[in-house]
Amino acid sequence: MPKKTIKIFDRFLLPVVLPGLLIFLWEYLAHKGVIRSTILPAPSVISATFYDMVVSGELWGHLKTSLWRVFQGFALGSSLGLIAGLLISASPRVERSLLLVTGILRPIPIIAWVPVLILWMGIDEASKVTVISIGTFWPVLLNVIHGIRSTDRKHIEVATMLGKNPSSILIHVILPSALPSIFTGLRVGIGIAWMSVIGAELIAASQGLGYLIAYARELSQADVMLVGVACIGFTGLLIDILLQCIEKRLLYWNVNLSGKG
Amino acid sequence: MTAAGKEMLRIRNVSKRFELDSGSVLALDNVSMDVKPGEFVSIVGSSGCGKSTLLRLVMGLESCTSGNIELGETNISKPSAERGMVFQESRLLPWKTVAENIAFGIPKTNPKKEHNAIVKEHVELVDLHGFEQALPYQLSGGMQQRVSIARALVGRPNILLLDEPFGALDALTRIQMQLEILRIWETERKTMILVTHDIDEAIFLGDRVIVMSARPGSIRKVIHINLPRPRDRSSTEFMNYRRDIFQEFFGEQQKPFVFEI
Ligand SMILES: Nc1ncnc2c1ncn2[C@@H]1O[C@H](COP(=O)(O)OP(=O)(O)O)[C@@H](O)[C@H]1O
Ligand SMILES: [Mg+2]
Repeated sequence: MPKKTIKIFDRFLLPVVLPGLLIFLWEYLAHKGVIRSTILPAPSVISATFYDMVVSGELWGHLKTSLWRVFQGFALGSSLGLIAGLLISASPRVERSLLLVTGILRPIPIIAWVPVLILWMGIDEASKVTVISIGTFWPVLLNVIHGIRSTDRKHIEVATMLGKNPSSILIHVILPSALPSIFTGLRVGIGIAWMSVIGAELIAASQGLGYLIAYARELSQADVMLVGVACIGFTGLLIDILLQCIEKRLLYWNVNLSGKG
Repeated sequence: MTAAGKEMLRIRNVSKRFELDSGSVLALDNVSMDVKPGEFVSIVGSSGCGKSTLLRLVMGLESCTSGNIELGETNISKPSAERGMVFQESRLLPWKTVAENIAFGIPKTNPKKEHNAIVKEHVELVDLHGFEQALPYQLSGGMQQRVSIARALVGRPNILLLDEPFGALDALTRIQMQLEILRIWETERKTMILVTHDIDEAIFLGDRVIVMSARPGSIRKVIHINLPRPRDRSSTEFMNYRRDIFQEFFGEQQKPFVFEI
């Protein structure tokens, strides 16, 4: 085979070969009756349900609700993480005074917050957005602090030598240098946000992908459940790809990302 | 040139002690010298003899433990635009283009509308025309060092401090950069203090070569180079200076040359 064909094969076809084979096998076993359709419906059945739910707008309705919650929670949690990260990095006293509080709060699984927040804030939007923002907050906070700490002292010295004031040093040196790390925090954060929203919706909601799955389970609609699950996976993948694209654009100078130099 | 440009740099009985957990290091012991305006002074010495420390004191990045450094009538205590410094590592900000890195050196007292013209002038000065929009990782080591020199010059300092600026470059690029710095010194008429471990480089560029000795760092000998520029590295006089300086380091008996002149 010519080199170019191999390259196209490796790049675009290789990732879909294995899933394709599995789906083919799955369909075959379902037709033979080896897999019970009440537990795992055939791919063709799931696709048909998916198509119906897309056409009727039902799927989009749930997806939209979940996405909007993630967006709000992520925006809130990451801004707070960024601000807290800046304050903690700027002042050792702030850091010390928060040491114990953050140490206790951080290991709490996000799901544990859901009942507590429902009690405090009710079952509507506020509790869900808060859960998501807590999930986003920690990875952003930790990566902001790490990014700022790893700023090259020599770069800061150059800026000082050139008579720059602290705010100018922050904008021109510290933040750009911390940006790759901050982005890592945002990517981890949005992954957790997406998982948290589903968790919160599974427990208590009347709309959203998590609710769709929980409700379909009560009605024993395995195909609807799986459409919901697949939709969560694909949306998560798309969000990550989107963030990667933004990262590449924003961090054009980062040799490790661009693969050049 | 401004009146400040005609001022003498006076280093008077300067000592510098670093306090460490494991004890203290006397990096400089009672160093005194004067540098005339427009003079080119080379400093050579073995690693760790306090050369960088001396330049950092003149820059105002560190303060003297005892003694003082004056420029004209004023005592040097902090960095100022009247002194520029180039380090062995170019210390360019990786997220800024060549033009932006150079512009970063312009003092904030300068009107914004002059910035472009100043950057353009200095891009020409260091011969980087056409690379204004390049990022540091796209440049060779020599080109990065040119940007660093331009950044140190845009503040229009009267004194340029060079701390082993060509130490990391290959031999051919180094010679080319020596010619560049000589050209800049001749056109801009700055006072230059160059720290180097390359004896040829010190003789080729300096009006005076200052030989330092280590532990504690002090001035061992000052050698005036009475040769017209451009200097011929293979001339007998050049060789004689070189032998004198080698002998300062290795003594009479251990002849570093395998041949006799
Ligand atoms: N910031 C510092 N803290 C402690 N010791 C230092 C510091 N900077 C330099 N020194 C010590 O001072 C001595 C001279 O260092 P330096 O000026 O860098 O030497 P050179 O540039 O001639 O190689 C060395 O022994 C070094 O370990
Ligand atoms: Mg040094």
